[in-house]
Amino acid sequence: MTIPDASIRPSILVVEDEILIRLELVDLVEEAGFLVYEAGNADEALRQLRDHHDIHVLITDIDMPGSMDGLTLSHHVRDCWPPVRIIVASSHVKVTARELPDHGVFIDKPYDTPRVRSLLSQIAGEIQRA
Amino acid sequence: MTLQSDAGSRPLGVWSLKLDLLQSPAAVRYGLAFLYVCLASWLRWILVLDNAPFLLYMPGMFVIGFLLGQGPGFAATLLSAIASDYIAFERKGLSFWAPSQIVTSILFILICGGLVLVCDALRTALLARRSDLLSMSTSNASLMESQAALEESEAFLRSTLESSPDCIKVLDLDAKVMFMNGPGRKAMDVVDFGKIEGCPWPDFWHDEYNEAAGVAISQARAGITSRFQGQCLTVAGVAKWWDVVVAPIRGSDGQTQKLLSISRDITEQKHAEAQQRLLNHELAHRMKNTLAMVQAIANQTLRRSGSIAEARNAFEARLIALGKAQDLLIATHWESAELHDILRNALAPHGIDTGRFSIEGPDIRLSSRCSLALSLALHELATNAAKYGALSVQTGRVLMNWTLYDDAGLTRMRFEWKEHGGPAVQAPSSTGFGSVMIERSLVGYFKGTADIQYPPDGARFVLTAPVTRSQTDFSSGEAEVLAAGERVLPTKVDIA
Repeated sequence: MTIPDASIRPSILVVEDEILIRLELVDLVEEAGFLVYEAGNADEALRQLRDHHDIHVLITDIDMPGSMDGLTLSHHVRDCWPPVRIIVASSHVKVTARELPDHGVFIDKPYDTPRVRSLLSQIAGEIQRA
Repeated sequence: MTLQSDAGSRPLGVWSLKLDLLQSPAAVRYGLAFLYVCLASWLRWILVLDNAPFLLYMPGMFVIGFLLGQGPGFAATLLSAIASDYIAFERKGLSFWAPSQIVTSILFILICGGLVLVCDALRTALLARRSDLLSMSTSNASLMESQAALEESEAFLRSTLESSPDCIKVLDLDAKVMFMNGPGRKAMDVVDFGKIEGCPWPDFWHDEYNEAAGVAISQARAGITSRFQGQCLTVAGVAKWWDVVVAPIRGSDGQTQKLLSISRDITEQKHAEAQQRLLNHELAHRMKNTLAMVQAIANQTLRRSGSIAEARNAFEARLIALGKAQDLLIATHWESAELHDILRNALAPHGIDTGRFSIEGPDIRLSSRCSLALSLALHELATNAAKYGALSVQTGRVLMNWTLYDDAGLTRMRFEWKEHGGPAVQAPSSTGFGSVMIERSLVGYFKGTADIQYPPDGARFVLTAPVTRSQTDFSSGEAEVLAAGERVLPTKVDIA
């Protein structure tokens, strides 16, 4: 994937407590052209969002320790950072569209890598066009 | 009069007189009367009683009137008069038609006829009385029998109700509690039944269960038995689960008169079901999580390998390392593992028993995630050592030791892997999966620091991490300790 311009490089916050899975996900989103921020739980994620105002996308696992799970985090982010695009992932919880925040996307784990890649590049394209 | 219970089957006292001769055929009765007259006449013929010509006949008239009835009595009277007159004529020469004889005979007939009538009336009265008494004693006996049966049935019912472990209640048609059996009171923590007697039964249930109880009551009133499961608080406020059957109690006319509610305490069963659901959920979660981890390891291996052949071997070895690490966790229901065990388990394929490894440190338990991560990292360290480091030559050794230390009031662990005796080493590619696992991944899992150096005398890896202590005895060095990592449930283990 080519990165047209560093100034409008899309950025993503990857929230995943399982480090190995996070490492792989980070590699995946980097390959899709994103600048990556990482967090291991919701509290770290909120800190990253407050520190980095350029985050365009949140991709979060649901089942996480800490003060809130990924689904609660996604709703919180929708309320406090409305422009952030949201992707919610889980290995065991099936989330319906009603439970997701507006315009949220749910993906299953283990990841369908080609699907995640195309979803990410679609989002990256939209951000760069905006 | 006191009657025995078997009065109906045995005639009593005076009533046992055989008054049933009247039921004999007429010929028999008349024949008996005739026989008596003959006997009395024969005696009169022999004895010739002048002063009392009818004396021998009179007593018999009582008996005949009493036992044989009016007809034979009158017949015997007439026959006796004729026989007596005939004997008087034959033996004394007295005329039949002498006025004195006629008067005497008429008087005899009248008196004996009267006697027969009186005796017959007496007999009739006695028979009637006996029949009354017999029927009374029969009805008394059946009354007593049914009373006894009722008592027995009540005792049976009571013992059945009290033997049942279920909470059995009888409600009136307004669903008010009228009765509750002993075990039911115990299960519902009822000390004083008077306090709940008359309370509407559906009020014991709340929310959707109140609705279910109301529906069950309406159905029972309509004659339909229904069943539901619900949660309800005991009088003492303990929440219990119940399997409830509500049924109509019908009267002899078939109409619903009362309602029966039988509740079985299924709290333990519900808890077991919930536990089972939780376990299944946990297991499904772990399986999916393991798959996601395997996916990450596979992708990372492929991404960071030079060739497909290299990737295949490395992936297989990592999968085996992950499997072995999971074996260790299964023993503790996926909660934690002890560090010595983790090292022995992870390094078993690398010759832990060959005397080339030295292990020294206190007992420390690691969370499941830290255990997995460390196992994978140890696999990478040992693989590197076998390829390029101390384990690539016979003289090489690996020393592992760890200690606990105090850092600004918090306990930390310092773990060191030190190789020596091997060839001079060079740092491997920092982008390989091994390096990623050892440096980046461990730091994340342990929330600590990881550092690997490659001085010429052998690789040296140091991991430091905060640990939580479950015991305050710091000096013993044998405290049960849980290393960093979330979702750690303290596991009580015996420390040898």
